[in-house]
Amino acid sequence: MTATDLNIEDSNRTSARKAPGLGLLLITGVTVLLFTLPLLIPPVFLNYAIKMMVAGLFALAFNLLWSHARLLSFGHAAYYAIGAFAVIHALSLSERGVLSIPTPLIPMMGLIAGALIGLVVGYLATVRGGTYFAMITLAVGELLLSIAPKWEAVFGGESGLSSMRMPWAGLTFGMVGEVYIVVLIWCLFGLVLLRWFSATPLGQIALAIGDNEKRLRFLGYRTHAVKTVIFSLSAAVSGLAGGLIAFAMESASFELFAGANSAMPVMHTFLGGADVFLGPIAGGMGLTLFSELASNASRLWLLYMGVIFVIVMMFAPEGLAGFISRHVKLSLTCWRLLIADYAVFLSGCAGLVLSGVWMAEVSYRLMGTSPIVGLTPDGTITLFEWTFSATSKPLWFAAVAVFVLSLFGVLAAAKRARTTWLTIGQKKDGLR
Amino acid sequence: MEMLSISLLNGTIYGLLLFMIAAGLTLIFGMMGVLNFAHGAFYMLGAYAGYVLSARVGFFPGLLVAGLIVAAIGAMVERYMLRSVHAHGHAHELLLTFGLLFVFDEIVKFFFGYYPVSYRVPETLSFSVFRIGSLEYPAYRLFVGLVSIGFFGALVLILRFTRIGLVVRAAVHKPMMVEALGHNVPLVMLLVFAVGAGMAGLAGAVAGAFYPTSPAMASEIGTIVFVVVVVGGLGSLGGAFIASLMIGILTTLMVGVDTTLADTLSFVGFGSWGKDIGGIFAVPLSASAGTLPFALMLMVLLLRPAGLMGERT
Amino acid sequence: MIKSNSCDEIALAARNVRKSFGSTEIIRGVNIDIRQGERHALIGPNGAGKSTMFNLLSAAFAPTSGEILLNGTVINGLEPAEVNRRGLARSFQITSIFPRLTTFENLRIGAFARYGVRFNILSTANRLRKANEEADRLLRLVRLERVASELAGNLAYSDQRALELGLTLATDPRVILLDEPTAGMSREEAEYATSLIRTVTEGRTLLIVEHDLDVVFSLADRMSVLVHGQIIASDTPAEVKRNAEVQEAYLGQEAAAC
Ligand SMILES: Nc1ncnc2c1ncn2[C@@H]1O[C@H](COP(=O)(O)OP(=O)(O)O)[C@@H](O)[C@H]1O
Ligand SMILES: [Mg+2]
Repeated sequence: MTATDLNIEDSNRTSARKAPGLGLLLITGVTVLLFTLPLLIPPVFLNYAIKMMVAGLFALAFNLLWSHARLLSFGHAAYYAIGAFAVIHALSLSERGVLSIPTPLIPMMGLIAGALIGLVVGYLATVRGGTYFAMITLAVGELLLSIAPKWEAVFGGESGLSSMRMPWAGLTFGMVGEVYIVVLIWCLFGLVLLRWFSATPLGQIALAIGDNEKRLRFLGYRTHAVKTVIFSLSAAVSGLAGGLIAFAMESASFELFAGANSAMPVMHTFLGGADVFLGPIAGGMGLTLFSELASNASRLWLLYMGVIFVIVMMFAPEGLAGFISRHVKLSLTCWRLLIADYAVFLSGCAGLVLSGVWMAEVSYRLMGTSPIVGLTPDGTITLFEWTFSATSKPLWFAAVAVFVLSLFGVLAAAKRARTTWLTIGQKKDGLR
Repeated sequence: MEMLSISLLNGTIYGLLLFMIAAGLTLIFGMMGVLNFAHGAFYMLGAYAGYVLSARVGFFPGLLVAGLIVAAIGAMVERYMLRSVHAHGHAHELLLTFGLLFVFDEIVKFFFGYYPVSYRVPETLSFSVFRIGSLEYPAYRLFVGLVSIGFFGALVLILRFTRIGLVVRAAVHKPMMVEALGHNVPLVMLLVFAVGAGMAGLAGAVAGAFYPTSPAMASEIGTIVFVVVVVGGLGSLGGAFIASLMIGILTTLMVGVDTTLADTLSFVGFGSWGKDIGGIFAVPLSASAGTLPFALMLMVLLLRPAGLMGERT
Repeated sequence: MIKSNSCDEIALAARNVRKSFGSTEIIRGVNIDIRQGERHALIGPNGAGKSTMFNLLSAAFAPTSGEILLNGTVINGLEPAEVNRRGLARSFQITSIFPRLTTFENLRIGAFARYGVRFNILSTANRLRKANEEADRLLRLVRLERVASELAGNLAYSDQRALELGLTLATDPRVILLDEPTAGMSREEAEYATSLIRTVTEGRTLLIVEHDLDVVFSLADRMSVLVHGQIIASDTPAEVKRNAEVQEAYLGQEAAAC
């Protein structure tokens, strides 16, 4: 067998896809765009971009455990927070001149701290799998959350810690653009690290653990050790993500340990799509952008996100990216069968969202439970420069009607589309 | 001494309350293999339902109706949500209940705001039953204990002596087998889920009048009850009972202890070292009572992974 | 590769092994000697405890009492991984593969273990020439080239059985335990699998559970009959065939069933 023979066979034998020229072009394009972003958008949006990238990286780190070893962690806030505090301490040490690391390298401290704590917790947590693993990670998270505010020296008590980025090599890191570039480079580093990992032997073994841990043991693998290592890597990259946020904000407080931070990567990952590499990134970036934009407009963003999460778990458990990747392989004929139903489905969704959000927002103001948003004294509301009476009967009637109609439309379209999918599946089986 | 006996009594009652919530959770796990993240939310929903209803239909009827409402919500969650994701595996069921916890939390905030509502003990029960030394003991606390004991007794009787109890006990061990024997396991699961949710809801309605009723209670009690169930052994009712009492009593006792870890270390000559580290070592143990359950859970999981009475691994 | 057949050395042995699940004793005092380099068949009716015996011999679980010896050392209570590293590999009666990996990658997982690159994160899996070549060799050996890049979870049942066999051979074991390797294969596939087993076990030690007695008689140097958790005979196939007790307990019954 010649060398070229081998190469050709190799590329179609493993599941790694061939990277065609188009993909490479796309990657280069996106990277260039990301690096030139500071020139293109105002600084406020750069702050959004930083949060988005960090959320994407965090979700990706969380998903390393699930997508490979099928381990669900509900306590990843711990490693995120520890990374953040490691970076804050490193920053203040370098501020005081004790430590002389170049400022752009300081986020590395988050990575290291995450890896170390991950090694310890991972060793304990991966003794058990399944529900027990989930519970141990949850317990460790809660344990640290209950300790953190009481440990002044390390976590700064209730008020937290802050410090400053020192200038380095002529860069002051006073401008958000410079910080953005540092964060971008580290995020890309984390991304490449995780991508690389899945292609290594250990990455394959981690995947095999998720499939059939018992079999792996009979092939001579000490799976506990393997799981400990993956956990540590996941915690390390989570720590890097937390470190980057601390680096950008120049502060950290014990609230980073809160359950909400453990919930975020879970939601981002499964909404984005856990079994597609870019799914968690898409979920993390998209939802963070939405929440940054929406939380200015609406106090109910978390409710919407929760509802969307539940709906996706029930009807599209493979997540958005999984849903999309199922469609890119479709032939034109199949698309033609589906397109009408999809159009109805999408417009139905739009109707549901519009009417649902309208009703939720208006009744939220009517409830008067929020200290921030409410009605004007004459009972009117202004949404998007549209002023109307909150109790207007025609408006409510219209909203309910749109909601009900859209619901029927969506259900009917989904049912038809499912039947079409079944026939497509049967045809494929027939071809085999 | 008086302090201690009061603490013990308080701890026991708190433990019984925990058991009332944990019982449903552990039975549901035993039968479905799913740890229901939203269980704490049922407790919270019960408290808010009690708050709303007690003002309308009177306190005691309000408690009962609150329990029933939450049971109905539980039944719907099982029938229309959990059952449809069942095919995607346990992890997705876990994730669904996780999302539900989130949604219930936000819904409660939507209707009642972020801050505790003024859900109070009724006049008829706001007196003190007895006094130990200078301390008066509130009657309502005893009421909480009595309700919990009542439900514990009822549960034991149903599980021991009725046909459906027998099926439930068998299904906890071998769901497939019981189904193969021709019992309607889905129906039994629906029932257990509804009853478990209803008990958590009732516990919430009863306890909410005494402890603060706020959106935070779902995740607070939820995590403690997880700890109880895991420490007791997933799926084991007896284990959950022992673990409930243990955690209830230990946390209550710990609140009354003023020594610090550093003081303890000074017994072995490391006192000053402990004080230097500061943080957790310098804080009185009373302030770290919240830490105790999780530390206990980690210890149990590592020393006796199946839990105190668990057999499933 | 071929080692001199020193028939007196015992590769794998059970000494007075008992195993109970709850209150029922499934294995009731089994003594068995598998000699170095021999092909040994384990037969017995369904539910006799053959798979349980395999689980005990491969350290999947510990015996209630008694000892398991691999190359003369006691392996009770060892991790399955440790037993595998000492040169014992087993297959499973219920197919046990990695469904999210391709056929090729499945076999390569076994090859990694063999070349000690378990914790390698410094090079990609596709670059490790030796492991890839070894996986290629295994692929050809179990005749799965045509489905090399299919996900193992999507393979036909008989292909999965072949993969199961390949995985068992992948760690280059000295002692091989095969639990009904040909069950569910077509006549042709089973014949190839049998001849394959014969070739690859040349110079190694084999313990095989097999229902097809023709296969047993053509393959095995010696055989043991397990009935109701006890070994009732252990000898050359010819002797066992003549054994009246076996005739009664097993062979006759089997013949009647066929
Ligand atoms: N893990 C287990 N728990 C309880 N009983 C078991 C277990 N494994 C096997 N058994 C029982 O042991 C008996 C022998 O099973 P097995 O070893 O699979 O038989 P064989 O492989 O000879 O057909 C069967 O009755 C089976 O039910
Ligand atoms: Mg068998």
